[in-house]
Amino acid sequence: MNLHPKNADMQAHHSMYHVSRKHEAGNEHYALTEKAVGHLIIRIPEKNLKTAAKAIKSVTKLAIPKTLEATSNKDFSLFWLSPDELLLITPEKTEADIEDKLRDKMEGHFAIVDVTGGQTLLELSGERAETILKKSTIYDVHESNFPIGKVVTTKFAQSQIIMTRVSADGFQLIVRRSFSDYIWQWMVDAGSRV
Amino acid sequence: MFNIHCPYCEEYRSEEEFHPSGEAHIERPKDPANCTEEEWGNYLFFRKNPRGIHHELWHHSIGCRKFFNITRNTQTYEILETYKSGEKPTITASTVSKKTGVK
Amino acid sequence: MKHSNRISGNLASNQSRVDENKQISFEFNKKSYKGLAGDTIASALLANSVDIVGRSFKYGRPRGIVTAGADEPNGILQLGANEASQIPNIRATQQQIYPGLVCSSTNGWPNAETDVMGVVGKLLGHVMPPGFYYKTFMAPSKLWMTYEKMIRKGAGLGRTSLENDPDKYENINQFADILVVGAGPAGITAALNAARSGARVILCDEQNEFGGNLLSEKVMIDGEPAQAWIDSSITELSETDNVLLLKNSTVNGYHDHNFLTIHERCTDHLSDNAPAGSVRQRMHRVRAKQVILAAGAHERPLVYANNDVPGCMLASSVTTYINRYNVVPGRSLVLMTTNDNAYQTAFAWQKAGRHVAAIVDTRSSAGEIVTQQATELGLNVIYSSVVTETKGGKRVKAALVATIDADGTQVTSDASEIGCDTIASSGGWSPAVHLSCHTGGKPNWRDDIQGFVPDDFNKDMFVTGAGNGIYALADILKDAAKIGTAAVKACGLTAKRASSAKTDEVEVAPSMPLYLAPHSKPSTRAPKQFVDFQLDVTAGSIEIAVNEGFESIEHVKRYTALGFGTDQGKSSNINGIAIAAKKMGKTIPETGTTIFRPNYTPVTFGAIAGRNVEEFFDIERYSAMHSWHVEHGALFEDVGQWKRPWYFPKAGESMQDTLNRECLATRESVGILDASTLGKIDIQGPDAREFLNRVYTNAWLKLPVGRCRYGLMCREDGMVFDDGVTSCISDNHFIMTTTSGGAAGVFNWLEEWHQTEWPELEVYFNSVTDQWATMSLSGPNARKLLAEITDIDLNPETFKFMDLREGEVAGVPARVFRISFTGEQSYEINVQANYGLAVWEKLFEHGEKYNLTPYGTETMHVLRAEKGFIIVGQETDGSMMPDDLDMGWAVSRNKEFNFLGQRSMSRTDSVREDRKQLVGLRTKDPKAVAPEGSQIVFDPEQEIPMTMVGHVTSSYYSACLGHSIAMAVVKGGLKKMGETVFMPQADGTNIEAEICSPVFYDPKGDRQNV
Repeated sequence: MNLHPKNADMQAHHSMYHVSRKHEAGNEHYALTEKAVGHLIIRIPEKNLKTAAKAIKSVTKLAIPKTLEATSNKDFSLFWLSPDELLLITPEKTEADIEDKLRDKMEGHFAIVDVTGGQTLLELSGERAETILKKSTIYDVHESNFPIGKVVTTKFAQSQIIMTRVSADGFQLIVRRSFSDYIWQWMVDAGSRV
Repeated sequence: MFNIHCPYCEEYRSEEEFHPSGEAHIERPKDPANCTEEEWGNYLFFRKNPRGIHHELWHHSIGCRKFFNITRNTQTYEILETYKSGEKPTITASTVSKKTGVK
Repeated sequence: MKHSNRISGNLASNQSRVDENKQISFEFNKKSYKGLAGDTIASALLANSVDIVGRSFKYGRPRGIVTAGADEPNGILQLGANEASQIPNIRATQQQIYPGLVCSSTNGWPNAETDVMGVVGKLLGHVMPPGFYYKTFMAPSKLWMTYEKMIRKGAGLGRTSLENDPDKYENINQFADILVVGAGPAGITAALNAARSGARVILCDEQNEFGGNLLSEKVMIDGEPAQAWIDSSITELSETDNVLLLKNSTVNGYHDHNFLTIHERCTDHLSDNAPAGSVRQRMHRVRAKQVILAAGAHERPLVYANNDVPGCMLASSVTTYINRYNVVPGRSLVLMTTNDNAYQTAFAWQKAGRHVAAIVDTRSSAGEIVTQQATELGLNVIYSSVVTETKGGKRVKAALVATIDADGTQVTSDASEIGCDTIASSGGWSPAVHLSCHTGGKPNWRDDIQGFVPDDFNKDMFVTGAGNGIYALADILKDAAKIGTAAVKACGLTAKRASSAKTDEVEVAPSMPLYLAPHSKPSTRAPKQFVDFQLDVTAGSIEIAVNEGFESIEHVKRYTALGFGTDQGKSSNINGIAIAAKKMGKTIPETGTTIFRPNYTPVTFGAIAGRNVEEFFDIERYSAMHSWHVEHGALFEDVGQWKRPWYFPKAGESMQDTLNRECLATRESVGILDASTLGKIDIQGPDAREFLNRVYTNAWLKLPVGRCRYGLMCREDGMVFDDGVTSCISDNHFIMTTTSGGAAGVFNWLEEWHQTEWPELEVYFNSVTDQWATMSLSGPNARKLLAEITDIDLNPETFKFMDLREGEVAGVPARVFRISFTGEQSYEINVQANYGLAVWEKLFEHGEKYNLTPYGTETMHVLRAEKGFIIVGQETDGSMMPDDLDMGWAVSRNKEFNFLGQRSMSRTDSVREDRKQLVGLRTKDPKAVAPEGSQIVFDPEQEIPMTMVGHVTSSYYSACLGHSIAMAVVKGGLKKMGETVFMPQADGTNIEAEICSPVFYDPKGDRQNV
């Protein structure tokens, strides 16, 4: 079901609108931005993984990532979340179309859930980014343990996030909408000091 | 603060990502209607509380959200193994007592 | 004017770490003093000849500085120049001075010099035996509160600030291959070996400089003074990748699976409050693959009579003050020692130009090297002797010295008096085993070093240096290098060959095991021989405890308070154990130690809390329409972590006015509620229905597509734990709603059953709570309003109560459910959350003519209570079954699968007739609103305690009905319709009410079906 209005003038308010009403933050040491994309959760039991992989490949050109990894190309990112759960990030407002295509091609038992409104993608980068994460998450974000392309769901301050490293000092964080203000403000606070 | 190997994520994570869910391997009676009150009461309320080797159900609640099992020494807090839902432990109180001669 | 104890010029130490050219002013007990940069409060006070830093806890005796580190029992101060910066229990020996530092004695009232408790202690000391507090204050127990206040005021245990702390504190998560605790010669060597092999290393030390004991002792390493080796090693480490060096950083706790917390004091040495933009303290939460404890050892003082008089100090601390701080804390020294090592104190004292009155060696002879040095310096060494007693009140005036027998149990001569103002003592060293015990390690006694060392409880922990009973520097360096490489290998890394610096090997004679210097009188009769200075525990009181039958060292500890202070008995522990052991006729290992627990030294709450304070104290979750609620004056209620609008007051309205207005507007026209916080779970799969059938109490196999159904969820014990409406989107696709607070719990509940019990069922659950913005339109004009902005056919003949339709609302794709929590004609509109605010605003654009009224959780509660709808968690408390709620209609007992909780519903206890059951209450006085939680009785005349038969669960004034309404649980209530009950109130009044049906409004349910 396409959940976007046909009338493009209808105002969408992304997660950061609640209180911060900001989509960007940072200083000379780091940058934080909210990025509008589509989010689809895909659930596949192990026995249907092969056929699902084919379907996903034909729609997104992406292979199914290994445990705790991501695959990505220009348009899509596919995150491993659990043995039977993937998160597909699509270009903005294409998620319903992608969902339909996937449903067409996938067979047997599976589930696809549109969570575009329920979560948001934040990009954190800069020389202080790793330190901000160290003040926030209990996961070891050192490059030796958290290299580019690794994905983990973990605790973040008192909340939780899905995060992946996209470059030496760049990270993507996926947070639930209702927690996003808390997480955003926490990072702005953490980023204000060494 | 435990360091727990999630058998699904295949790496160690800190206890804060997990939630304990009581004793492992408690099976729901196949035919509850025909359970005596005592049988049903045992299933509902009675749990082991051993000093030593214990099997526990844990949930990787802030992580992959999978339930799995832990074999833990309740005295030393050492986690001897973790294994997936539906699997059986390879270490039990009897295998350990055989090895060490102590119960 | 008192003389200065600071030495300078030719006499000054060549390794001093204070800067003669940087004077710093600070305040102690309201007097101003000057110290030097690099001083601790203790070294600065000693330099200024301040003898008394506090009064003792129980007897109020004057006390002076004893140690130079974390083990300090007396110099425990209150720090802070202003109210907001107050910190209690600061050790004068660890806190550096900074300009404007203000500190005061923790003990002593009205002040440390003239102390009320001192007089009390003198007069009553003999009637304050061990267990005094237990014995005296146990009865009458009510008076304890009064006693406690008096004792606290007199004794003084420090205090926290009464104002908010303006400083910022932080937590930071660290990971290391190897964490090295302590940066003395052992720690630095181990860290070097680990870092050179490429491991991720953290090296931390509680002191303001790296080097540990090398900062105090005069030794050469690699042919140069030790400081050169420290400097080059630290430089190398700081230039190595993946090495983190932390000074002013104490490992305060060692937790399970090598999780340690390091309390870093970032700016405590700079100023009273942290400089702008900096963090005052940081708690490092470290997970290390391997831990190397190189925490050193604490010197043991010897116990003798009146050993607490200011001027009695630890030998090594005297050396430290001389060598590191250029402070000689007296004029004339008597040194008492059981070992060679402490001779250095007398040598340093003499070289600083002060008088050494005597070295009292408990042994019959000393090692060759120190004997020769003592002879060269012309020192008077008295063998086979002890200081039995000190003379002096506020400062040592003389030592009484007597000879002892070979095993040190009794004196063998009359005591002779030696004039002096300082008595330094050394009974040997106790490895700092504390951290190794935090997770359950039990230290092992080693006779050869007369000390406990860590055991091998933790397989991922190494110990080296003095912390493992290795005291000779040459041995420490060699061992630490080996341990460093062993730890690297234990991490699974390739270790480079162990390498260490060189130093001369020094021959020493064996030391003598002695803990209590004998006195001509037995301990219970001799002048007080203090073991634990901080809590005033004497050798005599430990012996009395044993005499009174205490056999376990843990019980002796609790009875005497040995080691209970903020110093955790660092200097007293072993002496206390040894004295108890001797009295019990046991060996020290048989007696064992008490358990060491975190924290090693006191930690501020700020450092523990980190940034989880103020705006970050708890998560605040917001719905997509939150900003609108704020702009429209909503007051908020916390529901779980959600901020939900509570009510929307207009200017001049009381809360009740607002509720009346919101309720009436909804019942008469149309109201709107932000229901986004309701938990929503997307359920997909061919076995979705079967799964619902198992977890809900009612039947789900035949719910048609496009229909909604209310369900109760019970735990296996049959008690209701959540409720909500689940709707059928398509045959294999359902949307479940849960209570706002129960969402995560229900979700995990479903997952647990699916994953552990019924993995064969093909079904997936996904949380979509945040995906949908949910707005509930309620009231007779709801349909008219919605019709203006939707393309959905709202014809009530086809879009019936409990139906679901998809379409557009305000141009946005939506799911609309005809479900009602108010009993009115209701439409619950769900749109993708990003469009929630836009649709909400559109509804208000069109709603003006219908007086569309936003309402919050409070009006929602009133409206649903008027209808007798339960709220799980309000009407239920984990002990209510569906039948108790008179909701048997929501239970189908004939399902093929025995649903969760079903079997429990037929337990004997579940079918008792006198179970508490949910009923309505109508108060006799229609305006009386009984407080929620009011207890219910049948007979208000009964004497207290009355027989309580239930309580009020919900209670409101209903503006629509013109009278109060309440729901309550009452024993056997369902069979007592029409009977009278009473609710006695705290003010002595009784609210009288009649039991009735909880459905007060529109009992036939016509309005919601319209």
